[in-house]
Amino acid sequence: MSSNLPGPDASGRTKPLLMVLEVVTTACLLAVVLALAWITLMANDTESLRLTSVQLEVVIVVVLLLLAVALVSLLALLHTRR
Amino acid sequence: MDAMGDQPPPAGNLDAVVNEVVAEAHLRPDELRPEERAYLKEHALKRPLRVLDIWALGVGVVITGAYFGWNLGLKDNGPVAMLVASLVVCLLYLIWVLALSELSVAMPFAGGPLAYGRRAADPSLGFVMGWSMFLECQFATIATALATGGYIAFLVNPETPSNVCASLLVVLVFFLLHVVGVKEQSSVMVVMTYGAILGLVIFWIATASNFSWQRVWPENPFPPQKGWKAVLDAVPYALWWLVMIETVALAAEEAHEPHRTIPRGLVWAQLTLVVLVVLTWLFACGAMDSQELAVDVVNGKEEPVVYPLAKVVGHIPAGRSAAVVYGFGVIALFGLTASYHGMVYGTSRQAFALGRAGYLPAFLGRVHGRRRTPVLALLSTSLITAGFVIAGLWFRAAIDVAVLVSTLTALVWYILAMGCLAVLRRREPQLFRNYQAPLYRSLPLAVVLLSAFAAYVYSGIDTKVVPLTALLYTLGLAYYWFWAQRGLVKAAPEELAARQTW
Repeated sequence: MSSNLPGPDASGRTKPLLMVLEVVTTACLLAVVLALAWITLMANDTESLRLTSVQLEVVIVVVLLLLAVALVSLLALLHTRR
Repeated sequence: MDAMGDQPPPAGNLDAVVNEVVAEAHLRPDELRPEERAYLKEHALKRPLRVLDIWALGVGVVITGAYFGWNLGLKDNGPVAMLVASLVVCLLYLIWVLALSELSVAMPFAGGPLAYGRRAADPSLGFVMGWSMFLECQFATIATALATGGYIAFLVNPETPSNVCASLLVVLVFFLLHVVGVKEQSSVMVVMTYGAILGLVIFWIATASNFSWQRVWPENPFPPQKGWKAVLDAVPYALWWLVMIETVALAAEEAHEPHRTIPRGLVWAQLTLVVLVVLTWLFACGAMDSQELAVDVVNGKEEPVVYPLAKVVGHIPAGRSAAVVYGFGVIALFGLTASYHGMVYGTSRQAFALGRAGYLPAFLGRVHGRRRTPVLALLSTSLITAGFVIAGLWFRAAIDVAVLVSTLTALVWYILAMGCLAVLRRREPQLFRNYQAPLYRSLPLAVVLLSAFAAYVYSGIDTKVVPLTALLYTLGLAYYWFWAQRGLVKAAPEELAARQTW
């Protein structure tokens, strides 16, 4: 992944925490995209893709989306501090 | 009087503004011909907007989405589908504003998408993107004018409200306010945005008294006949929560130090809006059955609920007091008018930029000699809005259709803008030296995929929105191809910015 993280700080160190955050956020966004593809297939009556109960499926999707929103927000805020 | 913009700006100030525009177009001042400098001077805007102004514009322009429109997605879909759709939309807009900030800082012009398409490809793409945003803004303005006027009319005379007169009054008042000056209208916007947020806070507190988790999260999350399809059906209405935040990108030409003010203002605005969306959904759906929030049954016929929050307040025990109902009703006006205010800004600036560059009639690109506001663009777009308000007398589903046209045209240019970002990053990386968004490669890709997902769901909507949108594009493109493309103005900032790629 090509990153455009804030450069080295005053002591010349890079910011590994931010790098980890970008990797985790990217993975989370990928999971969201896969979840949306799954929702689209489920909407077309593809019952073979059912994972578990509808309740649990919804909870998983909602948690995934909330996590993605939180991670992107955190990253965005860290970037605007530059 | 000077503060009101009644004195012409000193010539030196205009020279400084022109020099800034030239620098932002990544040209040297000596590359500008005298007649181009004169044209830029004549069409220059002021640059007084700061982070608070950008935040207020971002929140204010879309806060109306919390007051009406989104509730139509609850019909036959339920609150859980609406939540999932809303979170998808919140994520889409969060990553979208980050990517947009990068483009907006690289090319801080009122034309926004026109400049991005123009520089990345050619004038045709610039026009398609600019026209898309113009349609998005214009139809959102029409929907909001109808809703705002109807709401005012209801407050004044609940028995026989005169929607058209009140809507036309709203159009006139905000036209005049925007003519006065950009800083003046922005100061009013900040106050209105605070008022609109206060209205939502009062709504949350009042509805908490009647809250039920059972209503928010029923045993069957989706209607059994629909399943996950309910989420897809709710997405177009969920887009209405946040559509138009990209208006802020058009403010870059009037922003002080856009490389700082635009990213900060946009990100903070978007984060504020995510909180407003989730809490408004939660308390509205917790206080009242979601189907009642979406439709009224009048004489055996279903009619969409235009003012859902007012309906909830009137329904709960705390709302039995006339003071609470009217108190909330008056404060809720801030939500509707703040957004109308921001939408007038977006529509007029896009029309102005398209006119200034020759893509639409040139008179739209003229600014007031003393106030430096695009008076004729404001007048033209306000007249279009007024015309649709009057036409709404005979077309009951006008708000619904206007909402959907606005969101669909928005998705078109979101996808195209990400293509521009990818092309320009590869071809001209120096353009983005002042600001780069996080998640370098995955960000635009995620915007495209989420936008494509949102656009896909339109195929399932039972309205005439897609043919109507196609007709509007055909008309715009016909004007461009058969008339406008021969007379593009090379001195316009969006065209100057494209000069290096000629």
